[in-house]
Amino acid sequence: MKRLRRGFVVAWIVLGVAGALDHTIAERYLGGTVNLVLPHLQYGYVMFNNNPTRVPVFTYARADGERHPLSDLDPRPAPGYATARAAVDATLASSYLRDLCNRALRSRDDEITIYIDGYDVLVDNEHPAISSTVRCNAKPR
Amino acid sequence: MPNLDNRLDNWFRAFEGERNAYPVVIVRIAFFTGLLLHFAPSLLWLDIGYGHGALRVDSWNHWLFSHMWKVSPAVLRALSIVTLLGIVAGIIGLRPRIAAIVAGLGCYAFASFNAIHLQTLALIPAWAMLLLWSICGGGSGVLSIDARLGNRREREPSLLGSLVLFQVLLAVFFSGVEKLLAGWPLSNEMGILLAYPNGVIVRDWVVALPFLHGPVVSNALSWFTLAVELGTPILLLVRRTRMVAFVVYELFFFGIIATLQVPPLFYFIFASAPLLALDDDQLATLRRVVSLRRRARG
Repeated sequence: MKRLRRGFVVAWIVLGVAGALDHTIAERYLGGTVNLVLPHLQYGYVMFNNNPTRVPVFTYARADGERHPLSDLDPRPAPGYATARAAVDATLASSYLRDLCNRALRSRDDEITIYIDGYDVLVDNEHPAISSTVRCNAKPR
Repeated sequence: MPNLDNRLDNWFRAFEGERNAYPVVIVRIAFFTGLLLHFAPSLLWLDIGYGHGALRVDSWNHWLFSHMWKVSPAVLRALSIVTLLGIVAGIIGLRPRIAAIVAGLGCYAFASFNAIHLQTLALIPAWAMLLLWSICGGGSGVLSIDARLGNRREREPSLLGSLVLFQVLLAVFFSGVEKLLAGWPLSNEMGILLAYPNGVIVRDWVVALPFLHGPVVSNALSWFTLAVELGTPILLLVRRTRMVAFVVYELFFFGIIATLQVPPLFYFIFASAPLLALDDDQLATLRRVVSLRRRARG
C-alpha cells in the first residue's frame, strides 16, 4: 500500500510538472505540445500574460435606444463576472452575438441592436476607435 | 539501507500520515461551492447551451462534443440534475469521493458538449481536484453529513490535501513562468489591463480611479504579481516564511477578484488551497487571529 501510494504521488507530480512544461517550454522552444491525455494537462496556466490592446465593449439597446450591458441579454447568471463572461463568450464563438440577439427578442415587433465599440487602450481608452452593430428583429423578410 | 529509507520517508512525509481535518474540509466546501456557482447557470438553463440548434464550442473532449447531441433532452436534463446533486453532495460532505466522481464526470461532459458560458482557466485545476478527490476520497471528517452520521474525524490522511496544494501552487507558479516568457515585468501588461474601459474585465471602481492607471502603479503591480506568482508557491513550503507568504498570497488573490471580473470558482480554488500548507501550530495561530478580530468587531 505504501509503495502504491508513493508511486501515485510521484506519477501525479511528474505528470503535473510535465503538463506545465508542455505548455510553456515545449510549446515555445520545441514548436509543439505532447497530448498528455488527462483533462487538467490539456491547457497551460495562462492568467493575463498577454493582454490585447484593442478590446471590444458590448452593449445593446432596444427601440428606446437606452444602452445596457450585453450580459443582461443572457438569462444565465454569471455571479460577480457577468460582463467578462459575455465578452469571453462573444470571443469564443463569432455567432454568439447573433444567437443571443435572436433569443432575446420578446415579440414580433421587437428589435435589438448590439453595439460593438472597439477601444485602442494605448491611444484612447475613453472613446472608441471603431464601432459596429449587430441588429436583429423578428420581422419576416 | 536505513539512510535511503529515511530520506524517502522524509521526502514523502507531506503525503503520508495524518493532518488536521479542517483545511481540507474548508477547501472541499469552497471548491464544490465554486463548482456549483460556475455550472448551475448552464445546467439549469439547459436549453440555451444544450438544446437542439444551440450554438456550441468545442474546448475539451472532442468525442463528447461530437456525440452528446444525440442524447435526448430528457436524459440530458436527468444528467444535469445528477451532476448538480453530485456537486451539492460535495458541498455538504456526503460521501465526497462518490460526489467527486459524479460531479467530475458530469461537469466534464457538459463542458465538453459546449464550452460557452463555462470556459475558464479555473477549470484546469478543477479537473485535477475532481480527479484527485475521486481517487483519494476524504475531506469530510468535520463540517459534513458524513461527520454527523458518525464518521467524525479531527484528523485526516494527508495525501489528498498535499496533492491538491501541489496542483494549485503549480498553477500559480507556472502562471508566473508564462508571464516571464511573455516579457513580464518589462512589458507593463498590468498597465494595459488597468487601462481597459468599463465593460471589459476590470471592475468599475478600478476604471473610476485614474491613479491606478499611471505607469508607476501599473509597473509596481506587474512586479508584485510576478513576485507573488513565482515566490509564494515556494515560500509557502518553507515553515519559516509560510505565514508571511500565506498573507501575501491571500491579499493577492483578494486583489484579483476585487479588481477583475473573474469567476468565483477561480477565487474559491486559489484562495482556499494555501490553508493546506499550514501545520497545526500555524492553524492555531490563524484561529487566534480570526477570533481576536471577531471579538474586536464585537
